[in-house]
Amino acid sequence: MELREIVTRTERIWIADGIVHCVVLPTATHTLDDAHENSRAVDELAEGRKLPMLLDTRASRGLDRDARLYYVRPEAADRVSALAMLIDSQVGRMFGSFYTNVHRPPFPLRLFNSEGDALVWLKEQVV
Amino acid sequence: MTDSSGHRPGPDPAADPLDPRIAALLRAAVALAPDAAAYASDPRAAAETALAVVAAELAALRAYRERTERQMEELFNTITAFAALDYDRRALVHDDNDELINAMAIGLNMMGEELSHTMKALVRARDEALAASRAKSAFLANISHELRTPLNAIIGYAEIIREDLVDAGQEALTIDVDRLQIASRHLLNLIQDVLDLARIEAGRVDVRLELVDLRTLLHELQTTLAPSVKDAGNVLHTRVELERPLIHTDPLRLQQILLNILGNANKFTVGGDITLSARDHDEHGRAFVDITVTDTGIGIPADKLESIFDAFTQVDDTSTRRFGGTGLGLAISRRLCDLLGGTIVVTSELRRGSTFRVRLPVDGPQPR
Repeated sequence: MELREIVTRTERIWIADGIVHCVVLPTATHTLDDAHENSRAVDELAEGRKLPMLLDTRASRGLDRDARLYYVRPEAADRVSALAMLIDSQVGRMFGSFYTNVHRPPFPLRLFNSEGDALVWLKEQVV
Repeated sequence: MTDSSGHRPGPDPAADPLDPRIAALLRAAVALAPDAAAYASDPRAAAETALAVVAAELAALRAYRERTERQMEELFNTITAFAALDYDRRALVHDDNDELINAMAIGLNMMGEELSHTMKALVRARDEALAASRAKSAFLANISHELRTPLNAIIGYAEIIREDLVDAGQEALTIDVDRLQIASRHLLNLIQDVLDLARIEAGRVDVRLELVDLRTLLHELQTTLAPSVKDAGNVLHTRVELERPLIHTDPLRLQQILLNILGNANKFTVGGDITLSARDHDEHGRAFVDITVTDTGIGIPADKLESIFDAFTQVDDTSTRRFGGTGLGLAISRRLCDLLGGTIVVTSELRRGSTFRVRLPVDGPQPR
């Protein structure tokens, strides 16, 4: 089956084995507009399904407060069943720590150093 | 001419008259070169190549160091701004930054945004709380005024009724009117306290400074309080040891403070001693006067000393019922002391008594 991928200004997004993969691109700091665009892309690919997500922020250039709050708004739980964050980089650790301690998302969150371990956990979270 | 390996035969390194230390350095340099084995065949060429590599590495290192210093300076400037409570500064995230530096910049930026947001929310909440407090104080000041007016009428008419009863030879009926008057006056005092506190908190109390002779003021206080002190079976002593009895203060406010403290001392002491004393005090080159009121009354528990100056606070609720009062007197006294540029503190020992000390600047409050 051919994988469909959407590349936005700040993320590369695709779905494989019922898991949304989001790789943050080292292009720009996420703004609220970027957050909207990325969420629309996920909705389009997921076709209304609530799916677990693998988020790779390791190359991120950061995201502003409005974008951070948008990603963890309560309604986000309607689209994301669980989130695994890859944190085997300094930027990744920064985001992991932030989302664990400051802005907790409204769905289960786990931090991983290994993509394999993250995928194993996420497969258990498929609704 | 070349040998079988293709290398040009060169001078024998062992026969080279080179200084052994320089030779060792060259060998170390050659080890960094792309073709370290060439040293054996042509040490000079190999050394030149090696030195060129080392020079390039050094240049790259210097460029890296300078770039890192610029990046660190950028982070430092952001931290410096945060230290000065400027949370709106952002560190730049560059493509050619080290990952660690970018991670720190991103983290600092997120921290700055959160701190900026939190600080603005706190300032907004504080301003709203202050506005609400001012509105409450203004409301209390207004409502207290509205309460006082009819209460004064009740006291006045009670007095007229009493006089009419006496004129009509109905003196036995004055007992109930007396009770009405006593209760009304008590209520009026309570309202006056609420009004005072509200005025102070609303910033509506002005102090009128003048040159006051403390000896005279304290003597007048002693005279004013003598009857109630005697009624409580207490003895009031005064000790005035002042070399500079004249101070710049508001005499009415000072009287209000001291009457409140002395009134409390008399209220919480039965058959004991109350001592009103005054003495000079110098602190950091500035002249003050200390006025203390010491009693041998019931005292204040240590854990209540901190809150005794808070509004609506007495040692416990039973004190309010047993001894009366709104619990506003000391709160008013402390705020008035602030307005006069002074302080009020208390020390106490349960069942031994309390000492309140009012310290006022001789030259009046400093401009705020």
